Amino acid sequence: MRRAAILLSLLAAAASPAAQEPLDYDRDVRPLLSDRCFKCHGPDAAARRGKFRLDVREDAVAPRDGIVRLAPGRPDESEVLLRILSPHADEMMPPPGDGGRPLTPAEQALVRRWIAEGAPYAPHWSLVPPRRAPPPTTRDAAWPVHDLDRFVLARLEREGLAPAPVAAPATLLRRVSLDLTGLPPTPADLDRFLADPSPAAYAREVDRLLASPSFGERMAVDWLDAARYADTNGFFRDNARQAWPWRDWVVDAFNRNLPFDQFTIEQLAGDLLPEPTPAQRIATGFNRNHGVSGETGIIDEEYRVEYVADRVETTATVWLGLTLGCARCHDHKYDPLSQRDYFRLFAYFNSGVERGLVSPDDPPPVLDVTTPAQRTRLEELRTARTTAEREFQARLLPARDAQAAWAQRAGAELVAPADSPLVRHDFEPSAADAGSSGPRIQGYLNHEAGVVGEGAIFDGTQHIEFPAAVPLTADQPWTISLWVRPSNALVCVLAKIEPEGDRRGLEILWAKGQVQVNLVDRWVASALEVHTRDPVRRGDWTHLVVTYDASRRASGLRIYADGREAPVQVVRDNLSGSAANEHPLRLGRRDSGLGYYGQMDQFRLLGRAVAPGEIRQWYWGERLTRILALEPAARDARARELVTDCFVEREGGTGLRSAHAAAARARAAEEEFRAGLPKTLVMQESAQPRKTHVLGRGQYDAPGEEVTPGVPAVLPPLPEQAPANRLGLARWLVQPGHPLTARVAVNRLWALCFGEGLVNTPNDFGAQGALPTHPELLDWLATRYVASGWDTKALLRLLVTSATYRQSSVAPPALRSRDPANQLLGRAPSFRLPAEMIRDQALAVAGLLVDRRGGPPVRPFQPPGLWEAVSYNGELSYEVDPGEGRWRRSLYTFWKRTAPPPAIQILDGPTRETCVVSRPRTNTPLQALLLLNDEGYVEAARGLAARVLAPPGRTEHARGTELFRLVLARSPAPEETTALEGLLARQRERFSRDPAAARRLVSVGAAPAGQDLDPVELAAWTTVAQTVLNLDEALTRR
Amino acid sequence: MPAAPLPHLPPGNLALTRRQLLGRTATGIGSLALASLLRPGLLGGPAVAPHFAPKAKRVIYLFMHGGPSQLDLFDHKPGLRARHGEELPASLRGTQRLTGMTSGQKAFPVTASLFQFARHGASGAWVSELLPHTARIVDDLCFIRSMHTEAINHDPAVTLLQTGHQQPGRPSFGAWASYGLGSENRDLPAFTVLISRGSAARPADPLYARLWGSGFLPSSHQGVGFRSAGDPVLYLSNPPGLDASARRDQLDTLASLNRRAAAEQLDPEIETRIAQYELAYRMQASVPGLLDLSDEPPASFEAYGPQSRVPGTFAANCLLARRLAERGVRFIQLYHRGWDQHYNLPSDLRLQAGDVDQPGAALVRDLKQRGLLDDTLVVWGGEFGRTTYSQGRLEAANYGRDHHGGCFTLWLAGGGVKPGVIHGETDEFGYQVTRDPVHVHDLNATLLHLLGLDHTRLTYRFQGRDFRLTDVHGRVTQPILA
Repeated sequence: MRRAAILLSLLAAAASPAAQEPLDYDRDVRPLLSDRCFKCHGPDAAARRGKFRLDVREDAVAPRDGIVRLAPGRPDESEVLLRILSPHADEMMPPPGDGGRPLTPAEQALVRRWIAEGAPYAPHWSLVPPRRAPPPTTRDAAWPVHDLDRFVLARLEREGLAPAPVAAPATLLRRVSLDLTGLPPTPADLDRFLADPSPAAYAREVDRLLASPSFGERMAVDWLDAARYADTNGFFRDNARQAWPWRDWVVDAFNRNLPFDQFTIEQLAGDLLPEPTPAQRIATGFNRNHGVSGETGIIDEEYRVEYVADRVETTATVWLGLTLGCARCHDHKYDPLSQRDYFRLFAYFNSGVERGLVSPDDPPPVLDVTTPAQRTRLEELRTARTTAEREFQARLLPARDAQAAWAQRAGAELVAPADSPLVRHDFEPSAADAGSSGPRIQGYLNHEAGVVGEGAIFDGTQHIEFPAAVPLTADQPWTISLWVRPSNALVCVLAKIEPEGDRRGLEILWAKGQVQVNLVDRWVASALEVHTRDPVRRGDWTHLVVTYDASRRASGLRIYADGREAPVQVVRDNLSGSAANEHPLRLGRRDSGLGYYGQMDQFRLLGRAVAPGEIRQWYWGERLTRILALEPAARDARARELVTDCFVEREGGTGLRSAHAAAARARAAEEEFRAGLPKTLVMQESAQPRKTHVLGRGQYDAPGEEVTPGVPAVLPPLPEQAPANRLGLARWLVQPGHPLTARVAVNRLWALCFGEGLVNTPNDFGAQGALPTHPELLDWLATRYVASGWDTKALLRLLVTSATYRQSSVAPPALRSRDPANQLLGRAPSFRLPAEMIRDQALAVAGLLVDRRGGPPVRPFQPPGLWEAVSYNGELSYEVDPGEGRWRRSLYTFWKRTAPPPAIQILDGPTRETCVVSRPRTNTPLQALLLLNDEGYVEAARGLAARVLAPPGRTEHARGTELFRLVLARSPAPEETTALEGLLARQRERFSRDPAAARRLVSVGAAPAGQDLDPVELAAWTTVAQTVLNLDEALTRR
Repeated sequence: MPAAPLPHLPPGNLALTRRQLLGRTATGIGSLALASLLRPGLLGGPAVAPHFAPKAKRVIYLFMHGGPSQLDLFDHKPGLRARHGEELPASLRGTQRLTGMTSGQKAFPVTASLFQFARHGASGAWVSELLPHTARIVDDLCFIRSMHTEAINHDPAVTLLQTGHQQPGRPSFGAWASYGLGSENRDLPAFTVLISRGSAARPADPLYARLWGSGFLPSSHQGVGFRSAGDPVLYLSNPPGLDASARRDQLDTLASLNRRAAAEQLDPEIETRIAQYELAYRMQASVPGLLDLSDEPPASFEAYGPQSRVPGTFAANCLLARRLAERGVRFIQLYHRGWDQHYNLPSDLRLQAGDVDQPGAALVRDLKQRGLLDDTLVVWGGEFGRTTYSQGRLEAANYGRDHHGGCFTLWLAGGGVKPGVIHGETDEFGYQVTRDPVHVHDLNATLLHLLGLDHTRLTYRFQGRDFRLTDVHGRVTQPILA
């Protein structure tokens, strides 16, 4: 079996090599030779066997060593054919071992005939610029609406087939609404169109849909797959990133019908345009959407090379339809693309400033993406801050001498409490080796400069242990002081606690900047649980002090950060025991888990509750120790600021103090606002361009020949003056006459309207890819697209107003078996809707869909536990949005690559780790479970039920009809009404017997819909609505 | 390859897979892939004939995520004791890549294992004191001590082992098995995934959905998670207030309306959808029974250990794995997290070994007693090994080991593997393979071979290329085949 044979059998006579016509090399011969021969006798010089190349005619016909490999016109003298026919395993081609598959007798005959006909070659079809052929004439002149229909009809007529009748108006409106906006028509849309289903009215509906802002949202979904867009970094820890401004750019670009050439240029090279706008720079996020790794220990260059390779391969797939990735390690086996071609293209994407091993969540380069309103506000805040700072400096000036004098004596004044600590640890490296009386250090601690002397660095695997006898109970007063600089969201700072059972003891946790203190005698029943209301972290290090007055009351526990008491929230205040235990005191771990990440310094335990004033002084003393030891000139800006802060606080007059406070407030306001401003990942060229080499076997550590940026040799050359950067590349892609870009783009738009592309391998227009079913039509569309100025909406308008599009999808069995894949386009396709459309439709018909565009990703319902199961230490939890985030369109759902949204995954969504230009369409029981049982879908069914129930005084029949029309855009037939009313009656009966069950069902989800309705009635209708939402017709576009 | 007749299937499936029909099949996978694509539904479908008679009908893959230390568990190097603390000879390290975590380390002190080793069974396999139960079944196991990989960090190494490629995008092993062989059970997924967390103090490394993903294969081949909390399979339970009889009523109404549409639309795909909804209903009935361990005799829990009563533990997952195997699930993938002992190896490795030793050994014994071990292949191992030298400071009773791709140990049992075998050897430092190296691709080729699949012929055309699990590599490790 081979591809050509299958194609022939399905496409019947038209594509088969008719006996009287000469063979078409491109169509009939190359697919076979490519599949069986070119791997060893094709473009890849390194893999070539027997020095024989069959894909280039000059090479193939040249005799070598007296052997004629290919003798045009003389098949029986051609070694090629003799080898193919040979029965001997050591001669046979392809060689039977190594997975080679012999040619069938029909294929052997084809090769013979081709040689007999003179062994003509032709360049691969997709590498020849598209030619605009005149539309063929057809016998039926009435059917075609546009010229494109004539290509389709001519082909059908050649097959002796006729097109299908026009689809019913309601079916057509639902089809085109879903195709162009991803949403079903409303009953009002339907009524309007049914009243006048004329072609002119249809054209108006199409224009309305194309103008709807939902259009861009629908179009973006496919582009997001191709661009492997996600909201996380993808590898290892898979941290969240901000890239959604790029997603919003895409939606907007489709909505304003940005011509595809400009769409291309801005995404590939917006940053290199003269004076790029912020939007043009945001567009370059396309090439930053690939995953990045923050896994400790990876080799930076190895991953940087992977990112560049991802860009090359994604760009090649999306714009060229070429499998260029195959040429990374060696020359392409089937297409005329060399490894050198690959790395010349690689060179375009190799000069960025980004790194391979990334640390922050938003891997640089990032762009601040502020709205005009935000910019205005920021400017106001900046002005307010500089004014306040100037004011303060003016008041400080006269006090300069006083400050200098104070600084001289400050060291002596700012002392820690005089008590001798019950326990202390300074985190100096030598302390680790202190005698047996000292603490035990578990694991290997590294040290670096701390707040006072050295501090220790923890990575979750170490802790420091003090003896169990340390007096730290609920029946004695104490104060704990410690400097911390955590680098993880959830860590244990200090614990003296039982690992299980009552969990008696004390623990101090750090959770996303908030400090939690638990003093426990018996967990839940007898404990204090107090946490700071807000995150306490200000700068790098935080001085953390917890005091306790032995009162067994939450009010006796106080938490101080940087010398100031932090407002707290009391969660539990029922302690009635001593909380004493026999467990050691640990810094940096709770029991076996919750290891500490980050730095620590200067631990003290005192035997009384220290007063607030002392704590402030304590903070300043330790904070300034290192700074005051420096000569004033050697202090950096931050150090000078701290000294000034302390001086003002302790020595300043009222005026100076209030000016200082005003400046601090203004600074905080600006910082807070700035931190909330959106950012997005963008491309940015390095000032020092990086050299590019051909990498041996594609490996980062095997650089070979140096190459300059350039395009594959087999494609048209760059214009002479083209810049050797991404801008040059992008302009080349969209230059008129480019053989691939327009065909590849048009093919995707065709697939959007017809289920499959005219080339049904949209990611491969090469020798191994499928041939176009309608080559002239593809070229006609491609040239038209370019001539229209790459007008995407115009092309879609053309496609959906064609007669071909408007056919019915109903196919009599005979036609279906004749053309199961609808390659001849003798009917409209029908296929299950994509995941996003199914969910968006349910939300829309339920009246739940929140019509808001763009912004940060949202978190609708998903079952709990999925993120914990895969995330580092289980530390990440998916938190369902409390409000409207539950009901936004699905393209806004937060996309975590290592745990993608299950409601999209189960319905064939990709992982967004690699470029995907077509999704599979499967039909599985897991999909049934999702659509019947997911909280979001059950909630939508209730919303839909409430919607038809709410208007009072209507008959069941009227309600059922509305329900049907909302979901299916048609009224039910009598049998359908009977079936649904039967279900309704039985369910109503069941729920009246068990009203508690009804209440449970209608409580699923968070939407208020139907709250005021009778739960029994609402529940019964909910089951009916669920049934309708799960009808094949609801899930299928026909 | 001669064309084989298509299996008898409802015509609906043709429509379902028309893209594959035209674009992807008939490229050498022939009847094999075609038949699997045309299986009626995701879960069900008869097993499709493999390339040759399989020894193993199913796989239970006990994946030790993070990279267990072969030097402290299986690969006994008594000579290291005398060199403990000495610098590892630089010549040995050669040009081998080190991770960024230790490449800057000033010293590479040889670190002998703290644990006692002894020889066990007729095969005389060395096993450390951390795995006493495993030690008692060594004559049922085949140890490969000469595993090696070029990946040196978790994400690429796990992805390579499970998908044959270090970067994302390829189908996982289980997806390939599902694609090539289909399912033996109509009511259960062909490929299931069970995850447990280790007891080590060190945080567990992340997992990635791609490890059980279908890559470019149809998404119906992706692994289905069996979870210990909430719905065991996502969305399995009816919503609150809607019981099985109400659901039945809904499904009957749905089917009658869908049949009516089928008659009108003449689309056989509708029949397929009706069948999928029925399959979902049957899963709702069969999965809870499968997960309900109350029908297990007390002896089972004794054998698998006390943790087997605690849902979500490795022990409970091992017991479940046996129940899934009994029901013909093709590929049962377990992950036990937490094997990344960079520091505090002695304490953490003891905890991890304690999690898996008894249940893993009990699983092999249990399968054997039930006659299932003959056609069930059990795999135990992680993504790489660990270094001979200590990461961080070497202390008297404490050390850590960095990732090491140069050699690691893995064991196989049942499913046509020679029992009581020790394959391959490493040097006296346990740093490099010295005999019979087995690369990750060789392992995968061998596992496929045991399943009756020729790794060079189990292909799928994507982007014009016939992709394989083993890429362009892999040789079946013949000596370990029974």
